[in-house]
Amino acid sequence: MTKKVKTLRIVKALILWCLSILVFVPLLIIIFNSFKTQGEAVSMRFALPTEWVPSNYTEVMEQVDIFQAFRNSLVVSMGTVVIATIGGALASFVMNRRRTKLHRFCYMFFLVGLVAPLNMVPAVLVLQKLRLMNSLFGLTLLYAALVTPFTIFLYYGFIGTVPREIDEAAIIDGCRAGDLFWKIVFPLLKPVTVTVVILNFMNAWNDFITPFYVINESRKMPLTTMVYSFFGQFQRSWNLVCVIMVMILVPIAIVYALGQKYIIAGMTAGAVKG
Amino acid sequence: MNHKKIYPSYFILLPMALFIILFILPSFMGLCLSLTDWNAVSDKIHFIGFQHFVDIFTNKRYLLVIKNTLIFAVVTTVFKNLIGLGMALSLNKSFRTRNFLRTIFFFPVMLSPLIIGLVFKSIYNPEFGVINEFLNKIGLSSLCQDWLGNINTALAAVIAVEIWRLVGRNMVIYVAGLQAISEDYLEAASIDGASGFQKLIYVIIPDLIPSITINLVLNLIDGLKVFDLVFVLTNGGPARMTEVLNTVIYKEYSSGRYGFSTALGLIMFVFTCIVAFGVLKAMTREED
Repeated sequence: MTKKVKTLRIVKALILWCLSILVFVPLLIIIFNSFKTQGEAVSMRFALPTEWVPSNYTEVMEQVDIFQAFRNSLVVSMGTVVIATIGGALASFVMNRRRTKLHRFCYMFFLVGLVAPLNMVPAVLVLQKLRLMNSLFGLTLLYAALVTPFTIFLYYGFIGTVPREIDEAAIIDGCRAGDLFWKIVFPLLKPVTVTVVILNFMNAWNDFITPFYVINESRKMPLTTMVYSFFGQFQRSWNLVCVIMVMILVPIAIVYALGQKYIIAGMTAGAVKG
Repeated sequence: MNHKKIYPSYFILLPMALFIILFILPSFMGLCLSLTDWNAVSDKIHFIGFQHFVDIFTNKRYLLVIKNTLIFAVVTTVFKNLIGLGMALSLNKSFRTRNFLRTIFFFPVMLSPLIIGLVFKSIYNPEFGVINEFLNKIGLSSLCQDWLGNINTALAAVIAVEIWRLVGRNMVIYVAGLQAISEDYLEAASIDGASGFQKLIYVIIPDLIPSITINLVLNLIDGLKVFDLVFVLTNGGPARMTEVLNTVIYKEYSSGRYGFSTALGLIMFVFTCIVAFGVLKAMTREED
């Protein structure tokens, strides 16, 4: 019996390892090809480069202003994180503590945004009227609006586990009402804050569809849109396209390596209680 | 204590304003604009009633788009759930490399769909692609084909990539659900002589209902909203066999037919809400 269980377990692990190859192969293709010569990279084969060409990385910088795009992505993603996290945390705190009908309604109202997709064309019209078209600030605000529902969903659930007695004790001990949230409650929310920051950053960093509608100047493009337009111009230079892809991947890989626990906590937040 | 002072309602204002102006307002404007002939060519906007919707639902072109979108959403949802659950069940019992494998399987969820699309475009390439090369090597060259260019395989090829991309999220959610199941139940079932399969059907699945619900809803929403992958892999072709709602919305927008594009956006909005709330309703009733 135990022997059977043991072999079964080994077989299972083997199957899973084979499956994991499927995850590795596309990633390795990108990395390998970013070091190949243009001629060799045309076929995008899954093989080590015969001749390593690290100069691809400097060549991309000559072809396009990659740092500008990197900076745009960074500014937009960070901006989204700051606006959505601060706004979401404060709003969730108040909605969770004040259990009036109106506050409950506000919470449910935000949750509509978890499900429904944004109607892109009217959103573009609104941005136009606000003179925020073709602007990184406009893009940031749009992202912040889009990630707010999920941010509030996560914060609201977590704040529910922080006892109210803490608020009361702090006030009785002389904490000013204005300091209560930032000095007492916010530090207790650290785990969920990390989750929110990472997920919001990722969403803004990886998004591709929104800049297509909102940004029409190459100087203001984030990395994702940039790699696509670059791909359009340099169809044959897969090696250079791969370099830009590596540049998008690396920050995400670092964030994932550092914050994996928090990301998975965020993804599974609704899974157990439903 | 004075709640109004400690928990001031104006804390809600900033996110509420953002949400209303950039999400709710466009949704309502979509409702009105979809009834107009708003476009890039003429300055005047005319009210044309439900004309766009009549056009959409009587034109085979757009019915095909709706059909493709639904097929995409349903098929990806089914496979992501089945494979994700299978992986979660295998990863649930601890073995040495478990955490490492879980980390690997979840990684694609983190990646930009754009990058995934570009890589798989090269993997599916009929001349040099890894898939055809592999088939040649193992002596199945007869199966080789232009995966994204063949009208019979294109949609399936895109669906496969979407499954690859998000199966890890399903797995992670199922693992969380499985860990909430008490060992005692499973042990009791074993003592009563239940086989592994019986345990799965009668003990594990019923306890996983919340995870299943969340996975169904998330995957269906993602499926209905798909854009990046299709846009990069096939851009709707060949012969519109992979055209989905979001790619058409973008195409109509870029050709200046704003009113029509908005109408399609509204259809997607309605579909998504019906599907999501329908599933939530059905699954939570079962729970009671």
